[in-house]
Amino acid sequence: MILTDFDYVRPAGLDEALTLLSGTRGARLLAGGQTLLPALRTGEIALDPAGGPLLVDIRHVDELRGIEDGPGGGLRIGALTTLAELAAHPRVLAGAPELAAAARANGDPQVRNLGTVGGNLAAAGRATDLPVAAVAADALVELAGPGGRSTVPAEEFAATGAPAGSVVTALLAPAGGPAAAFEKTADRATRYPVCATAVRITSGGPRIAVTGATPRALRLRGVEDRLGGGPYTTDAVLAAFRAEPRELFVPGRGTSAEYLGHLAGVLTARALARAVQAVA
Amino acid sequence: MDLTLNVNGRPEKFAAAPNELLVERLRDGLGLTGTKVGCDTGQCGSCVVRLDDKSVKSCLVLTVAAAGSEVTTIEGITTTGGELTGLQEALRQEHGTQCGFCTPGMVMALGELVEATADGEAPTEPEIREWLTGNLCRCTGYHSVVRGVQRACAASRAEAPADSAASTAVAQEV
Repeated sequence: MILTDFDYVRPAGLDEALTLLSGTRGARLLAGGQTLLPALRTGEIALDPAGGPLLVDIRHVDELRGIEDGPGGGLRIGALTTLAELAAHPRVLAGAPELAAAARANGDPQVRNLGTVGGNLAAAGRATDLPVAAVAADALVELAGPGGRSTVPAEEFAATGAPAGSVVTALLAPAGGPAAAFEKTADRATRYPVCATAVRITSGGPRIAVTGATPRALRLRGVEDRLGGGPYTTDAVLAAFRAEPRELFVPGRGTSAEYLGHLAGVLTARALARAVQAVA
Repeated sequence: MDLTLNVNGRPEKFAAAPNELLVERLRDGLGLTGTKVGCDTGQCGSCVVRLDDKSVKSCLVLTVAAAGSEVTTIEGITTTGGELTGLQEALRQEHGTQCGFCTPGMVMALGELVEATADGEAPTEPEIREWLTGNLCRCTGYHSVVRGVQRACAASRAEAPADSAASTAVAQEV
């Protein structure tokens, strides 16, 4: 049972959703609800009773659905694409396997049946799995807000989140290919990542992103520079991580910065090995 | 809010507060107590139902958000009283229930896996175990549940060449 009272509305389209969001101080988006509802249930997220709490349910807004051709030969992944759909989509598996694997690593089959791409990217205060893969893929987050449409690099979005009154409309993944991978050590109870890493190997070297162990999904450019063109042996990757400042890793429940730095290195080494193998 | 929810093929009309969870409506409002409440925060899977054919946790769905959708509970998977589906029968034969509290949620979750794979290869053991990540069994009876799914998949495939119509019916029923 959710103890807070709120109103509920199901807008017919994106424009109506944006009007509702900007017109009500206490308005919040609801899509799959797989992060928001348990957080409301436990009180982790509180709705402001004075602000006119309102959940704006966009799950049926069709224009936010579907995976289609995106700019530059990439993919435009609608924000309401479920994690289950993303994990199983043939074009995602072929062109952005790190996104498919990250989608599959979230929660469990039932959570993935309702949880959405937009919700996973915008899950405030939670280290979810998709942002780190979006950062490694060099994807863009497409937003609609009172000022119109805009796109933000996934790495910047991971730091800033969605601006007030805006809606994530899509994830734009560039044309990638198979040389990418995702690895995760999950918290046994919650399935959230203790640490997750995503890598993509490009002609200019590897892109390496980490979450869970870090305050948010981050590119580790220092590690990337140290590894350069490889070879990406476990020893080399662990050494590259040891050279990072310890403050980068934020101790959590039962984890030290030392442990998290090592874990991030081990997971990255595994991911790089799989990405190399995928194109061998 | 006044709304209509289609539950087990029947339209149910009622008024619900926006903060009511689907599992509360099913159990307390409609008396469908086969759906259980374990953790109430989306981790244990005792409350799994089908929402427009997909298995979901009914403690992570608002009743008002389910309006207009088709909800199927454990009570709704059999057409006639008391007859077990192929999956239920296979779980019974493999002793896939112990205390039984997690069983309705497991049947509703695994039914989607069995249906989704009905036209292709049977799911592998790791796939079945991965599919079970959202269902906690406090008796730790997972091995027999996995064997039950394997038996159900094998049984539906054994029937297929002889009578494909019957096997389709079983798959839909599960």
